[in-house]
Amino acid sequence: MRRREHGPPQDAAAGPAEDGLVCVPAATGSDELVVRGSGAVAVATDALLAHAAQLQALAAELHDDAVRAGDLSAQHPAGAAHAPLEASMWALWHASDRAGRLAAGLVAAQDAYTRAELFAMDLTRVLSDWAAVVAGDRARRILPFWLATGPLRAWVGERAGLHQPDMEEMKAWLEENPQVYTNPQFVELLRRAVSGADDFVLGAAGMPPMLALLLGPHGFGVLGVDASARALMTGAALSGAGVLRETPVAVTRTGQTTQAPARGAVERFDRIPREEEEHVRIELIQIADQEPRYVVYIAPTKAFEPAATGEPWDLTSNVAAIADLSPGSLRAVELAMADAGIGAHAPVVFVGYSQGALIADRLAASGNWNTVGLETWGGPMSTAAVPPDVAGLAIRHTDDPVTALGGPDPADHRMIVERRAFRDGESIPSTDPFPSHQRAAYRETAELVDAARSPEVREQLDALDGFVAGHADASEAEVTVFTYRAERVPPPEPAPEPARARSVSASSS
Amino acid sequence: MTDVGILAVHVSAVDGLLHRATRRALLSPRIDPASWRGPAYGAYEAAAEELAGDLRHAVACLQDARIALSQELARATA
Repeated sequence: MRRREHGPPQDAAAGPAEDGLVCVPAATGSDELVVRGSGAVAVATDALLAHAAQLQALAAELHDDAVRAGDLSAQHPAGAAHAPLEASMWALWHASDRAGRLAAGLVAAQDAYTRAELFAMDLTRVLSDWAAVVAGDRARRILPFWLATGPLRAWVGERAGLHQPDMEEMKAWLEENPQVYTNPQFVELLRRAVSGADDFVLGAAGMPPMLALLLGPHGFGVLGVDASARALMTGAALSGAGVLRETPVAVTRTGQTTQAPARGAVERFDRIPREEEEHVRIELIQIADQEPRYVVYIAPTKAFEPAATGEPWDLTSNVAAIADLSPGSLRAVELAMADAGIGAHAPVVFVGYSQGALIADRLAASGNWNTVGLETWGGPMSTAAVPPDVAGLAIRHTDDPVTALGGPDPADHRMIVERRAFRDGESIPSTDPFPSHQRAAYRETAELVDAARSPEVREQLDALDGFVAGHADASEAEVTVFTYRAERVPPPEPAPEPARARSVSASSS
Repeated sequence: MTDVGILAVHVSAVDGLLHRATRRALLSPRIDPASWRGPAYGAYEAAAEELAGDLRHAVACLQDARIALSQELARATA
């Protein structure tokens, strides 16, 4: 990690001073956390929010010292110390006033910039959706010409020595050039493409652009990414190809042990299941004289085949979750929760990564559980709105394409903490697909989140840490850990029609 | 408490104010351009520099007050 600090190194490294005044250790480049959420400033860096809070604290301290200097001055009305004491009072008072005004100006400037940025973002999203409808309309118009000229284009291509791009070649090229899809611009483009998919189809079907926009997320919200995903699953079902087809699921408890409660973002992230055979981890926290509470950790996607086989954490569950249907992985988590004895009123915190994040979002938004906290890592944002009283953070990388697959962010109260995993020109490992989505990258971000100093982020982290301790010291908590493996169960074969019914039918005919 | 005792307490109080003011002047809060979003960093930087100047001025005033009080204490003790 790279950090740069102002001021004398020995003092800056010392961190907060006794009187609360600290030098701002400003992170740079990809170490910078950007906080998006409700509050005075909708979008700001963690360092900037911490700086504003420090300035406000500084203003209060200077004010208190000015009052003390004024008292001393009043007690020396005639001595030689009166004038310098009075001058000290005014100097401290001026500094207090300036620090307060700087803090207020900082918030106002960031707020104004954020409003302008959000307005521009909304405008470009509306325009891109409009463009998608128009592109769909144009595609419909040129499709007959395109099909009719297919043989001619093939002949010209053959004569010119051109050949169709080979999928394997393209895959190899992408693996060698991860920077193509590991950057914020690509992620935003992907987010708009996902968001505009339904608009493209509507345009191709001949719907006027204005009507399509009215039905979309910028209008009545009838259409959107969830509707596109539902259409995809419906189309897959109608095709009869056996892809994206949901099945029943079953869970098996694979272990029960004890462990200390997790404190901090790093410890929570490390407890998200990573083993192939582990899908859900549930921690039952018991504290004397307090009701039992639970932390549910949900694994990321484990299989990417379009056809559902034995693995519930698969592509089918991803699409079903985005479609706001009933993904197998979500049902498996609920089965595990029931097995662990979690009732509708028991306080629960959900922690998930990738698909686990999507499922955690859905569970928290469902209203079926007493969700008090939610911490997600690298998940596509669910369209389901999480209640405003749920504490926690949605942590993601601005260059992680997976986070764009849920489309635009929902307008709920979740606080999003963002960071760019790989800065421009930085070497990106090509061994793993989507390097910015890998555990190692998010583990590094977890360390930065734990080091965050803005009151906004700290409040959310403290709420999650406090959950495992209740009103007692965390060391007094007894934690029982249950681990679960989930699997898909083949759907039951349709029962043969009873012979009598057939005979009745036959006799009827 | 005698006048000397009161003066000694006041010198100690100014010492405390001076100590805190010196710390603030040394560690004047400032944010890095990389942590800033949007334009107007220059305006912020100018305001932050003015605040740093105010903090240094407070130190100078308190140093004068400390010297004046110490002299009064010395005279009273003599």
